[in-house]
Amino acid sequence: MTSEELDRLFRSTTAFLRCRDQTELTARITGVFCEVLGFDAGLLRLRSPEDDRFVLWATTGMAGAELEELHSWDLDLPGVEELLEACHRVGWCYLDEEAEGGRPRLYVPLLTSEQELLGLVELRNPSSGSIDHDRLRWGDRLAEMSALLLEAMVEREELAEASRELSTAHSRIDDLETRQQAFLDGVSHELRTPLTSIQAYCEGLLSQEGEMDEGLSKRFLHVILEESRRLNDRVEDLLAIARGDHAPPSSTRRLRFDLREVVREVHLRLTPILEEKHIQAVLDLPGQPVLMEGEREGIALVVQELMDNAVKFSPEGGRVVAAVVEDEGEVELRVEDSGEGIPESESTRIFERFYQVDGSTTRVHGGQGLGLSVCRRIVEEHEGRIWVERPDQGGALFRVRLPRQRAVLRSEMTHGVQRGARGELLELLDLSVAAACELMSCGIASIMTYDEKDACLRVQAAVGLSEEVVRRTRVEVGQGVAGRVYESGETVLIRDLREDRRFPVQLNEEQYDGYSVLSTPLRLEGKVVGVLNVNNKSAGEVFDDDDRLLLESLAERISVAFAHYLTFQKSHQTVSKAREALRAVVDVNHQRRTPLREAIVRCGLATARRDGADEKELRALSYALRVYDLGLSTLGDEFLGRTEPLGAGQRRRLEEHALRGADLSSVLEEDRRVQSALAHHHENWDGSGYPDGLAGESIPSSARIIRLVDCFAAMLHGRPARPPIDVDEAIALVEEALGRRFCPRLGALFLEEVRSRRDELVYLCRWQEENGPGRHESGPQWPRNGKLPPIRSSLPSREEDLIAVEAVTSPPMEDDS
Amino acid sequence: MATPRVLIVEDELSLARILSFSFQNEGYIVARAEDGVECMNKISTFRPDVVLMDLMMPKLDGLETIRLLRANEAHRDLIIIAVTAKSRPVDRVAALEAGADFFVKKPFQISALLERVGSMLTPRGVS
Repeated sequence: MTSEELDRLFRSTTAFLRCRDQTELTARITGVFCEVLGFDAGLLRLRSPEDDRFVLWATTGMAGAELEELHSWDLDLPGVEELLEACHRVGWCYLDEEAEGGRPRLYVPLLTSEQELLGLVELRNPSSGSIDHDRLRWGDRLAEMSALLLEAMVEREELAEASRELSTAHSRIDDLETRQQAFLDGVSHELRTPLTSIQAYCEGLLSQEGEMDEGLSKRFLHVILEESRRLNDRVEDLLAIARGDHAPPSSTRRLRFDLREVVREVHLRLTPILEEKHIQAVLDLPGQPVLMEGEREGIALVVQELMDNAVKFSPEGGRVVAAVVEDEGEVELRVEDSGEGIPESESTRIFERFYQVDGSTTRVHGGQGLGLSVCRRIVEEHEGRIWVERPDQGGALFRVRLPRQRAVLRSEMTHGVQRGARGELLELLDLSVAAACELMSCGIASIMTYDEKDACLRVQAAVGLSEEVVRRTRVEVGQGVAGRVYESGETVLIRDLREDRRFPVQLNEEQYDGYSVLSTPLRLEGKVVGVLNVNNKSAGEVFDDDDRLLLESLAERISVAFAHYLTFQKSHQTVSKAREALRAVVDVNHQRRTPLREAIVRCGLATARRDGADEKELRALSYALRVYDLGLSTLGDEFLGRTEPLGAGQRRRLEEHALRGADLSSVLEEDRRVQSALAHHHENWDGSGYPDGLAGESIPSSARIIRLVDCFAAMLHGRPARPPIDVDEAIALVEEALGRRFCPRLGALFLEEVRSRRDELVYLCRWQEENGPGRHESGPQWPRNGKLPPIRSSLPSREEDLIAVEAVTSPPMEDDS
Repeated sequence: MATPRVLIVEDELSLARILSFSFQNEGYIVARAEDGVECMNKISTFRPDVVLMDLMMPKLDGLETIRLLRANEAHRDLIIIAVTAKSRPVDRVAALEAGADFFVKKPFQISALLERVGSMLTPRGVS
């Protein structure tokens, strides 16, 4: 080595010592290796402690395809061993003279002081065209030094990290101490103040013994009693905190629910006090459901607390407004009172435990110190925010913003997508998995697509899976359920994964409650591009062939929506229509699906099967049966809950809803099957129906089946002015109307199906009577072995409005004749 | 000899009432304020000899009110008694530093409080 070379070596190595972090150091090491050993290109991989993979950290002298190729894969430990085995050893270096293209490559392993493989240097393109064997002897010195420096750097970074953690922990403890003290001050104030009063009044009574008039001493005693009660309330509050009440465990099952329902329930509960104080409560709720995912009970507590307070702090004859607003990814609850308002200085403190703004009015309003702090906790657990607005003015406005808990989406798919379009794609993905969950009434739905880079299927959007799982999951084509579906293009239905020999059990993830899986391909222009998976069917039920039909038909529509998206440049409007249609599918299912209706829908589907419908028709019907009332979402509130007859204009608008539903859904349809079923599901066999007054066989058979299902369901669910009728009565009524309202042939088949499921329907009617219509996930489970489970009462959900609509759209049977 | 005057600054209505009742029984002239702001408003018209000051109050808290009172030369001789549920030595020190003459911890005995107030007034020639 010449003196110049030595000088250069010396300069480069001292530069090591100035490196600030591992990235800089690895780059420097790679450069020095190239320089000293005489190569034009090189790279350095470091072993990652978590998974033993050798990850690329630095390259030098590489570009373009060569670089891209390097980034596309990591080596694992066996891979490294294999590489080195193919080489021959020169001192500490490993030489592969016959590497790609016959150009030699040199590998230098870096070992820790414990002789563990820490990293691997790879050198390419010898500077002089061939290997300078003389220089290779520097390899082991360089390797030793690099390894030492890398180890030191790791330690240094770990230390720095530890020190950062320590200092944040320290400031957290400081913060905690301050808060704890504030809490203790609050507690002692809240407890000692009533105690002081009690003691003082007792003293007063004792000191005045005999001289005090009876009225006054009675008043004193009354105060003592009152203050004792207050003290007790405070103690209860404290105990509740100590027990951890109001602290729903984070594992509590998150449900999809309609925030409007919660507000209505709370409003109902408040009615007596509203009347007593002559307070007018205004609910400002959107016409369509405001779905969010979260812990329903917790959110109900927040709504209750805010509305309670609003009533409490509004004067007699005042006004309380509760509004729900939704936008992009969030929903917002606003509660406004007509009280004195909250001073600016208190607007954050009121959310702290045991804090009350206006202590002087405590005796008028009762305590509220605990409530708002609990609200804040619950809201924050939902990753939302709560605050109060318009401080220093009358009428406090409390606002709560909550994320809708959208599907977990991976961002990779949206690379290269235009900014505006990106949001649309995310929303389409989100709505698609949401629609799968609602339609299939299951807890988990995911969309996987082929990832060119990883050469495997990866999750693009999911409901019910954690971000971690979404990020981690990779399925090879041909492997597992999704991989086989992708490869074969055929739907796979697994009733019980544990017993299905085709697939080894892999569902050991804790989020899976059930072992039934359904997976179907998503196609674009006939080519399979992804897979739609669902599992965790509610109430531990098992997917069956009817579910398969439904999922396949949904997948067809999701594919259409994405096809619209991909040709998005052509028409922006089409994509937003597709989105609107998917949203309507989610909403209508959320509102309408009850266990009873689902059973009747299945009778309808079986009718079509017996009538000889082919797969394609069955798929279309299975979907149409779940969405036929799509058009109802376009009707206003005037049709809700009414019992009196409709005016002519209203009648016409109502009659249009069928066409509107067909129109709304058309964007997702490739042929006219579903549309014509939707458009004509209010036609009668004798031509007396609407919108076109079709008669007999000219009504599409799927529309005739929907007519049967719709009317039968309306009879069993009841309506506001008329209680539900029982299964046998309903059967008799349908029988009577064969040839007038209903197709005689399909009607007879339908009734046969209904009779064969009579026990189940009777059971579900009874269940509904006890529990209210009920959402499917909380619903009863009809046992396949024929044994009836006991009926347990659970909280009814408010579906009356919807039943009312049903009553309007399906006029009572008796009106027919 | 002027009758001694007490201003009770306390946001708890029931406590304020019994204090007022007890002081009146002892022959004091009593006025009440529900918070620091009301106290500041009443102080120059009512002209008390003694102020009973709760420390945890809305709007203007007790410590702040004491500081404001002491900042005014006219209230130099006013006897200020801090009343609070806080009981740590630092809280006591904070109250005294703000300018309170002494510190009463909730809950307290009214008779003891009356005695204490009485003894503080006596040297000034009030019986």
